[in-house]
Amino acid sequence: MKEMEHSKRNRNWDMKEGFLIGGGILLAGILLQLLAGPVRWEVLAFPVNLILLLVFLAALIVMYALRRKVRLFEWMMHLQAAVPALCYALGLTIIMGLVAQREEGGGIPWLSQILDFWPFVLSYSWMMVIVGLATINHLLRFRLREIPFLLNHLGLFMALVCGAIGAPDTQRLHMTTREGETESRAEDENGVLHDVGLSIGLHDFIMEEFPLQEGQRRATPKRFASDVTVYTKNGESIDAVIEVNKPLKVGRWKIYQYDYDEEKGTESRISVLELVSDPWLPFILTGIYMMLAGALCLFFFMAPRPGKKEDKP
Amino acid sequence: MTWDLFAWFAIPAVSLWAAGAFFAWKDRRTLAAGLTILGLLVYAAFITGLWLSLERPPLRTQGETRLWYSFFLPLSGIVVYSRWRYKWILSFTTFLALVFICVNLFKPEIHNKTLMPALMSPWFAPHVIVYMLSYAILGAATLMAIYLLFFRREKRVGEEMAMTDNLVYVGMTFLTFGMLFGSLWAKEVWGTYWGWDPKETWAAITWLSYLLYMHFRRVRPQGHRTALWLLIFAYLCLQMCWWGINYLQSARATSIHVY
Repeated sequence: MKEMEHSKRNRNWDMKEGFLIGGGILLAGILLQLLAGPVRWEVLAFPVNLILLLVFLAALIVMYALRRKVRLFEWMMHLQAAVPALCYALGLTIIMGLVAQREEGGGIPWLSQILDFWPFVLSYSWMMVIVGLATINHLLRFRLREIPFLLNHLGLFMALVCGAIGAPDTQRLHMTTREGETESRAEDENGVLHDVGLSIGLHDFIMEEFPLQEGQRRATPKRFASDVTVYTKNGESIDAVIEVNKPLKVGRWKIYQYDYDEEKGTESRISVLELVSDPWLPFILTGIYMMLAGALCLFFFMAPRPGKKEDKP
Repeated sequence: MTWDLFAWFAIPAVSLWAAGAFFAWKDRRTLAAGLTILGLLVYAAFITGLWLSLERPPLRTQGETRLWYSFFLPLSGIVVYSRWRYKWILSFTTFLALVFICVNLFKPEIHNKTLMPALMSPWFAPHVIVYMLSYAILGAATLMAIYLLFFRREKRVGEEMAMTDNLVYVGMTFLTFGMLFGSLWAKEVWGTYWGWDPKETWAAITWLSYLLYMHFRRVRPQGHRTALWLLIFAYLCLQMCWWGINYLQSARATSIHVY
């Protein structure tokens, strides 16, 4: 019933307006790209991203509160806005799929680094504004049957927004350990060494290979692993075997098997470990698990039956 | 059990599915369902045997994913048939399964027996199996779309659209599972959920396309033709994600998913 009232009031605000607004966003993005250059994600590092997130959420709440006064805001939380927004995000992602992406630069201007391309970022942001408003709308009219909607939309919002703005806070360091030695520093992508607050002693680097097949020069590796002891600042020591697909969690770090001395192969005496710290992880994971639960709801409740009230135009 | 024995299982299975499809046309429902299920059991026996003899899940090569796909097609066919009683659905799924079986018989791409360390994970089997299952269900939805767009004479399609929606919703459940399992797995193996690898980008495109269909259906419940075209478009994106990117110059060089 409510949906019907909304769509009546919005008779002259339909999908067409959404496509126009989306086009405007593309143009604005291109202008920004020309004036300010590509998106610099590193600017978002903490605390800027947290502040931005709070401002974003506050703006969504204000828009929701003004929905009866501003027709645009009312329209934004409905399907008429969602479908065009999805089309733009989809279109730009297809471009990304067709143009080889090059982190190091070069290729087709703008499109080969599309993650830093303002129209791409703004189109996804616009989609998140709409998802956010729709979530608030359904949250405030909460009933049990809103749960699948909320799981899907809030889950996507959390995973995508926290994933994007949290990216600059992700630390990814590489620590080169030698058998019989202990190391406490790790290198970032610019080659700068950082003290990571723990030290790792490598006892043994283990590499197993499949038997050599006919016509093969080199055997295919079967397993990479590092037998280590991790010493924390609190004086704890943890014995562990870190291997591909089996990282070790110590404090804020997750430690991955990353590389070895490829020339020496199975005889390698060094092992490169990757240390990843991702402070936004719990929020992203919550979002992903909500989406999984939401997907399960799709299975059980399936599509709305035709003729149901909310299904009418 | 090896691929050498594949034909010995595939031919009986396809024959059983074809017989099931035949009896579906004749409205002999129990016989149709029974024969299809029997065919599935024969086929499942081969998959199980292959799994045991390889000592790893057979999910690694293109040929192995086709193996699962041709298993799930008649499976989703029989589910749709027993729910909605479409006479033609079993013929279609049998035919499609046959196509994939023939590709496996004549162009196997199944040589590599080894499994690299990155793939040795408890996520591996669920990730690929739910993806193949969703591909099969969304394939059935696409068949429905083609039927409604090009072969159906009657104007009233309400009931069929409801069925297509249901197929998409169930397919989306598994598609979302496949994608998010992949992302959780990627976190375990590389420390990132999402790296915009070409395969991941096309997985996102596929997912967004089906989302677009679901939202469009709600905003324009009467716009059947546009919705059905969207479904065909989404399935093309899915094909691109599955094997198309192997032929895409931009992806070949960089993707970790080319196999």
